[in-house]
Amino acid sequence: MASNGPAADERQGFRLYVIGIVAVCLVAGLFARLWYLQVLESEELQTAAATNILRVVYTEAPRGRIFDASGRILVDNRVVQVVTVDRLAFRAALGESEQQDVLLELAEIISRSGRLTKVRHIEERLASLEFGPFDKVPVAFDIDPDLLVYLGERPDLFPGVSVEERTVRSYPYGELAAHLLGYVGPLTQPEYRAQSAQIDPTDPDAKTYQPGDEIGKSGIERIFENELRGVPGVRVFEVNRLDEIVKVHDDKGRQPIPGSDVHLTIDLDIQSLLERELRRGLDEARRQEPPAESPDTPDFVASSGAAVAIDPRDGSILAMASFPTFDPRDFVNGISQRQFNELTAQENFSPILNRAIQGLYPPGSTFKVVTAYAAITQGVIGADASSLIGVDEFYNDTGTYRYPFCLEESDTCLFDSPYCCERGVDLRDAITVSSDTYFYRLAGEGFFRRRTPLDEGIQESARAFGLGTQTGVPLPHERAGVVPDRDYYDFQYDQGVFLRGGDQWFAGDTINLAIGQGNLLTTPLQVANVYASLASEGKIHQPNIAVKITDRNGEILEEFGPRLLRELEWTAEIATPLLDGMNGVTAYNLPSSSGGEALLQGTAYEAFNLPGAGGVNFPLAAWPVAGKTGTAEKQGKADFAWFAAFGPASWPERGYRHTPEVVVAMVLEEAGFGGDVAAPAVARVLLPIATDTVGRARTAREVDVCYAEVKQLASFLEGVRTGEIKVDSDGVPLSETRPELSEDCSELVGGEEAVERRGLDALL
Amino acid sequence: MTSTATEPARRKASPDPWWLLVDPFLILSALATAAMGAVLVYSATRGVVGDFTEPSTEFLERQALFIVMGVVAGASAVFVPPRLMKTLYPLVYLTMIAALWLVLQVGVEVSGTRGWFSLGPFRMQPSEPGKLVVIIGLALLLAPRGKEAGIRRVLLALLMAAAPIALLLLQPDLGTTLVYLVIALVMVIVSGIKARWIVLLAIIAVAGTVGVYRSDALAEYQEARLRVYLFASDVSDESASYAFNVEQAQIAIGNGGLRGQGLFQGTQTRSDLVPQQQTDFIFTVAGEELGLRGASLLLGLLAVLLFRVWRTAQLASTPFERLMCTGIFAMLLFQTFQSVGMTMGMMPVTGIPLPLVSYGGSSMLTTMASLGLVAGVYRRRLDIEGMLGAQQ
Repeated sequence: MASNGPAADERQGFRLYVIGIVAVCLVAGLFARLWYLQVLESEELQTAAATNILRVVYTEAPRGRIFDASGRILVDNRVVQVVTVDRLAFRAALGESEQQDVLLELAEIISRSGRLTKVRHIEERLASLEFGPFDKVPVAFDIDPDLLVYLGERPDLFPGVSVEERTVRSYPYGELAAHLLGYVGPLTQPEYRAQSAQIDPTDPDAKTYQPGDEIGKSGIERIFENELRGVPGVRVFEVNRLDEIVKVHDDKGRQPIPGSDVHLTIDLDIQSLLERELRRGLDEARRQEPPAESPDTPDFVASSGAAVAIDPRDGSILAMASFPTFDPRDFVNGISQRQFNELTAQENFSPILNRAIQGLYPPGSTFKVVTAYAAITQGVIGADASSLIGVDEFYNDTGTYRYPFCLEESDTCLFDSPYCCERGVDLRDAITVSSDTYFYRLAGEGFFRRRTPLDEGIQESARAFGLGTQTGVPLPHERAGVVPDRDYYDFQYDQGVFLRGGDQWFAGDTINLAIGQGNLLTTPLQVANVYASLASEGKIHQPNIAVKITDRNGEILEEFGPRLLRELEWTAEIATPLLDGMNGVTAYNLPSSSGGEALLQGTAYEAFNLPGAGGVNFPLAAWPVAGKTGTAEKQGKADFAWFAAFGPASWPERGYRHTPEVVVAMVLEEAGFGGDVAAPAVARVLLPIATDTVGRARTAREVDVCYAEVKQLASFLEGVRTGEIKVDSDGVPLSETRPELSEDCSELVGGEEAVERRGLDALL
Repeated sequence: MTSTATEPARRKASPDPWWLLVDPFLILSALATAAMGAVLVYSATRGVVGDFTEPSTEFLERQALFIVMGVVAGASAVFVPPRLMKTLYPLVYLTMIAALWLVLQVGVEVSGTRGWFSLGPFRMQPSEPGKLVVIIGLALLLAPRGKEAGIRRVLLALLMAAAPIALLLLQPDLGTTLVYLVIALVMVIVSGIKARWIVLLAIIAVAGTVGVYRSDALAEYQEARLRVYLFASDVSDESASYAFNVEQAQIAIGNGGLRGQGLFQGTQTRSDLVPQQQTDFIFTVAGEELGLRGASLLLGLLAVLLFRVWRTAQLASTPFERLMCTGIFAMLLFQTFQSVGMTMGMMPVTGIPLPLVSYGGSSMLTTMASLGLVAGVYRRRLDIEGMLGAQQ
């Protein structure tokens, strides 16, 4: 250092100090500014940051479509215009009283454009809790596209209000198969959590959900949610705090991928037929006169019922109907709580319920074939020494059965049969005429007493047929039903429901069970499945409803074949009396070789042979129908009418051999005797199937058009009847032309005669 | 400095113990700053909201490689004797000039500046090591042996520095140019020239700045940036999005508050709202995600580093070494103040990396090498007339 000269050296040191001080000032300045930004200004800047972000907008992909077996679209999508309100922006911009005025004006504008909207409805929507605070709440759907321009140009008048396009479900066939298809609705918080927990966050093709997205709530829509749901599209915007888009990140966006299509086993034509006949069966049940001999019997309410059609060869469900029904179109634009409550209300007979899988009914006499199967396979009926009775052996049915081992002589030892007369019956006849006492005796002296007091042979067979457990049909909320036994009594006693437990299972319990009463509970689908296994030589299938899943291009992603669960023991010894007996139900039994009785008419004879008595003229020789009526009693209510049948059935007695193609089971609640009301309805379902004349299912649009035509014709006919419209002697009107039905409509309602006879009901 | 004068006799007898030869504060603060920077680079580059891919570690891995290379370069620089620097200097200087010229011909352009060589997967910015070359050159010219630098030497030194600056303005790279100017200014002042020359120099600097601004030498975007800084109200169309960036950077830092949003949790950072976040705007990541505490820690580490460089300048045994440390100090100080100050709206936006923190190999290697040179000066501080350097 010395070499640099002391003066220069000192100056350098001093200047270095000066630079050091400048540096300290600069660094202190940085710290001060940091303090200012992060402590003093922090709150304001944090607010700015919250509103100043990369906004990721998800667009829901169109859901997959649902097809019937022949490829007709049952559920489709369509694009609608939706008016939405951003509640935060709306409330921030307007005072309490202004809000009212603006909503009123909004309702008026929407109503004027053709979609009637009440202010109250909009307010309900805005108050709804199903939407998050940042969601845009849809208040009116399916509006005129012109409103898009109108509202879009007036953000000052309608702050927070915008018009967007949304894809919603459309139902070309209206209410048809509503229960089966189910409906969609906005995702709830618990559903959102449940779905989000299942999603793999690293999967770029994950079917993620956003609050308010559509999710299947019931039926096919729910069970195939994962398949029907598409991969949402993503758009990424950079927005400033004024919500103006600063930049669009196309590279981070993605187009939505539509969901997969589901193809059902359902035959739309049979579905339409089954629903129509179920409804008509209920209508006719309601019109029955109460029996003259007992005027205090409960009314035929007949407001609800269910029916199922299955292909017994593979367990495919061809049709499934439940009444009362609902219109899935009501859910499309979001359903109000009030409307939804109406769909679930008991007094409306809970239209939302799919009674075919969720309704629990005592199967009544339709169960007798199961008891008969149990009796034959377990030796209660047979040629053995230990058997109670031979297959062809006659039992004298007097209408009352007295249990011989009764401890006390009391009423509980006597079991009456409500519909009977005195006659001798063997097993075949007991099924044909539905003899209660024959089965009482099988249960009492056969199962309960003769074997062991703990015998539960009937329950074993019932379970083997799949009762008491879910059939496993791919539909949500299926109920298992109940096959009562001692364990069940114990359980219910422990729960405090029953007054006695399994140790007090009496002969009467087994006797009631034998005719499908007591605490036995089944769903219509279970009963249909029992008859499907009778039709298919003991094969128990898991009922199938979906054939395959395909992508948008029709490429098959997944196929569902028939699922055979098990095969029951099945021999000619078992089949012959059952099939003969069941065939006799729709016809009559030839005099038995051993009996020598007169012809025994089956319980559904009228329904299949006498058009004059409300039945049809069924070609039984070409297409035999084996079936069984059922009349389940329910305390304080009219009987529940059952009929379960299949065809074309083999009929050993007459030497007919067929492979059954369809099973139909139907139950009509509080409707009366099974043979009187349920059997004719099933006969009307089976006849077109047997003769291959099932009418084409009509779309909602076609039905609407036809409805207008029928209405016109009906009012014309009414006018003629009352004399308001003058006609000449040939029935040709003098002043106006007679309205005519189009060919298509005429085919649907069954011609003008049907309108003349049934009026508007012809369309049902 | 006076205390060291009494010791050389003992020092000759036995070599100095190693702990007197290294400055632990310099080394530790440099390594800690670099490590913290790597984490911030990772946070800034791991992907944005709505990106469904795995967090990217590409930048993190590269930055780690740069740090390792930088440490090697720095450690080597410790043992370069001043004599060797002097001997090799003309060659090194010409190489730099050639590189700066060549980059104008074959370099790749990044956001309007043609300043990078493309070397396979990496890019190299010759103006970064150029800073160090200019610092050594100025130190050599301004600290002549045995006498004070006269006005001719000062002018020669400025001319030497002007050549690379002119080439930089052709890229054009205003930010790095400013670094060169500040280095030259500080080194000339500290070299001990008379006060009147300093006043003259200041006048020339102001006139030059205005001249550059008035002329067409500045690219339009640079002019816009300056306008936003100088006259905040003047918001023309093209400067609007730029003003937006400046605002976003401050919002990001303010959003951190006292505790920060948490590492990798910054909404501004993850939303990709702040530009150049792994390089020039890296401080916003620290501000948003680590909050006042973390950002202060980073600034504190840089302050310790700066203090140790300044202190080494004080302790330097020769005027050349002192001036070299001063130049390095000026470089680091200005880059830190500019880069951090810009994110907080205290300085106009120019593309200058935050030393040791910003992503980039050229900057990392240059900074580490310069700190190595400083460590070398520290190591030789007890040696008069470069004896230790001579022994090696």
